[in-house]
Amino acid sequence: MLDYPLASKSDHHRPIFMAAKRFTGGNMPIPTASFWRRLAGGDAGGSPAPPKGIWDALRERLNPALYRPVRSPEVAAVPLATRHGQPFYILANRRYSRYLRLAPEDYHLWSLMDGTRSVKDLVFEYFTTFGALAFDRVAQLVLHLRLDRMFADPPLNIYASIRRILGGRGQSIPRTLWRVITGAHTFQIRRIDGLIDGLHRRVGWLFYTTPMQVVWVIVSLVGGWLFLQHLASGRYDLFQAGGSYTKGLVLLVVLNYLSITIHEASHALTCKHYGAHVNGAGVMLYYGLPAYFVDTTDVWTRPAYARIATSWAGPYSGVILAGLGAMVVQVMPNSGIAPILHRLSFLWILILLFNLIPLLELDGYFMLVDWLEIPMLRARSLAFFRTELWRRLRRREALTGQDRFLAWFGGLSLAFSIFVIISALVSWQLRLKSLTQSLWSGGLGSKALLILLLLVLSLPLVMGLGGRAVSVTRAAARRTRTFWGTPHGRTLRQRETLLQAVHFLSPLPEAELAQVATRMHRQIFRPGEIVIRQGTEGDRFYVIERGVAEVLVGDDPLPRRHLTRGDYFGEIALLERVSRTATVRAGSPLSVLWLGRGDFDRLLAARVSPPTQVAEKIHNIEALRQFSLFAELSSRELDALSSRLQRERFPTGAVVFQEGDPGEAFYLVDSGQAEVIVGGQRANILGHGTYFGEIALLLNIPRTATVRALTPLDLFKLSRPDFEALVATTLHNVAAVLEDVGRERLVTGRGPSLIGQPGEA
Amino acid sequence: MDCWICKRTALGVCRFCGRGICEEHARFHPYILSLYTAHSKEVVKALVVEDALHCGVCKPRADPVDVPELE
Repeated sequence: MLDYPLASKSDHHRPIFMAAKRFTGGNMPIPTASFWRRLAGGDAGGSPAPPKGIWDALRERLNPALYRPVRSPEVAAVPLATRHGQPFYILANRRYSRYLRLAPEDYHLWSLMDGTRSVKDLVFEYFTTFGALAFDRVAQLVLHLRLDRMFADPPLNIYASIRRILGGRGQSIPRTLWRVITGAHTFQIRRIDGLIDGLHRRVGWLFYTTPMQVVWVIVSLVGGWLFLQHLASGRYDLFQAGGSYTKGLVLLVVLNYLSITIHEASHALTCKHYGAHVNGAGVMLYYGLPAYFVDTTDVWTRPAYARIATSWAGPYSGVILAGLGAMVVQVMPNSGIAPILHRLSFLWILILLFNLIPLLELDGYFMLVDWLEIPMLRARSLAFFRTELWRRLRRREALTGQDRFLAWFGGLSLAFSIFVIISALVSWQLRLKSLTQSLWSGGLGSKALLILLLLVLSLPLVMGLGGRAVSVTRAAARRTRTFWGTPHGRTLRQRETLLQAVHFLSPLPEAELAQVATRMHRQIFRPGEIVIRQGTEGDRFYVIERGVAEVLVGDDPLPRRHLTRGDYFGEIALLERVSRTATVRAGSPLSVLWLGRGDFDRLLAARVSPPTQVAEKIHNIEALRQFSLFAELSSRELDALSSRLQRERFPTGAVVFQEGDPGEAFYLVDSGQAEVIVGGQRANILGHGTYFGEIALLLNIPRTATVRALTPLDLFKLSRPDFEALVATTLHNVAAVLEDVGRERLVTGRGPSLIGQPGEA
Repeated sequence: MDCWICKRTALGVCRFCGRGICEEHARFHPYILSLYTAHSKEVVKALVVEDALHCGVCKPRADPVDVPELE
């Protein structure tokens, strides 16, 4: 939603902006600081505003369209660019560890949020700058910024706090334990940045100097070769210490956590080296096993090379230490420390190998994602490999370069995951056999250790398999019930509520709407799965029930916009066979309801009037979609807009408005031509797709020109109250969605990182 | 009194706005009965009804609104 490519924007927006500028013809300049000051004063002419009653003041303060956002002074904005040169910005509120990625258009709006402009003004500002009405975009931007504490007045959310407090009191100990076991609860120390900073300033910076980098490379290469020699010789046992497996195991676990600590410290130091903050560090259980993590999310405020280096630092530190260890072992092969150092080197090399495999979500994967700049690569490629690839192969459709990459990556990821699981099972079976025998033949302590070990090792497997079995069973039951069963009770009411917000269905009586709700099918999509593909023929209409969907156009990898609960698409497919004009992809777990054309026809065949009205409304949406001015509006917004746009027709020579008339509405030319007359002289000629009178959306000021029809003129008219109502409605819709489904963080994938586990930084 | 949403007989009244509401359309929402500061005067405490009747139509604001006119 907040991330748009600039290239496609600038091309078609410039002419519209020019049209607006031409019309104003110097008499009505594009808004300036004094304009905004006057606006803030609530009066166009600068005269003092009439006193308002307290109820009017309150009403105004409660109107979300009139909310005036103010940037928080704690927020830093960092300009960055993709490797293709596309600029973007990262907003960082380090106090709350909140990060947002903004496209330049959104950053432009952010820079205007100084408390002098309301949300309505921002919609207008976007309109005059980029030539598109973007109610939803501005609303989502403002609400995300507020919820992510980027404004000076962060939300208090009193009722959510009360619910959380009351819910917390009732939380049982088993539930808390379950949250700890499943990794939902972490133990984190937040104020660790000073410690890492001190460490970096005193010693850490030395590691990043050029001479030291040369030393590290030599140590890695020579030490690595020596380690392989030691491993091949079989001189040092990895699992026994002093002839005891118990001691060997305990030592291995202790050394493992030492390796993890160094690995994570390297991530943190490198993050610091590039000037980013370390937001915290802590411990959590990951599949039942204790895991450390450092939160290096702040490295998002640095260029891609810094992010890649931060990911690389962990495994690289292991290589260096393994190399050093192997060198010491080579020099003192018979000392007591040699077997310990060999074990450490083994662990470090093991961690390196695992972390560099890009097919698992470890350091190597994040390096690849940062390099390619493809978010959600694994989820998308797996989704493509599971469903879309086979469907397209069956239809013998050509695969693009990106499709082939996704297919290969998805296939290899799946195959490798299976290989790792089988290898681990075989390896552990071989290792555990002798270990189990040794421990079982020992004393009571050895037996207890064996039982504990088996519990710890089997827990992840049991939890993983058990959790998967439960979710698969639930999903299957839900799909069967929702696909074949008839929805009733609460489910049906929820669907009806969802459909009531679909404006083009409003001509249908309540009973018909209930029937439509009954006939809709629910479908669940995993993140990255395609719902509809551009260019294919569609016969289904979709409404989003839960989750976030991304709209993609052409080969552009960045989503053109995001759709959330209540948004709908593909409505034209209910009427006729047309190719889909965009691809819609699940951006999170997505639940949609769909209605087929056949069902729609059968349901409404008996009724004449409502279907005609519905068809007319759908055609109106399609007609509005053709205007570049409305390019950023979703079907839902276009639908809402179409019910507020009034059509006005003028014969040749008729005057739309005179210079000096009060300005109360904005006009868009659908067909015909009109001339703009300023001071008795023709200043401009307007045609299809151009608009005029946009200042009237903000201010009640006299018209600065006369507009007269040169040919029969067909116009769309939007009044100022309707414009304000659209802004307010969109804000309400977006706010409801955010409350309902929770917020989707715009910068994701670099949360708490785990050593040797998915999610590693 | 009838339910604001379905026009059937209402069983209760929304605690926030007074709309009538039937069992089918009843929702629940925390309601603050009273606010007070603790003895230390550092913490604001609230007496709360966890599940007060809510119509779902009105929108209790989760953030206070400035009213400088009353200062």
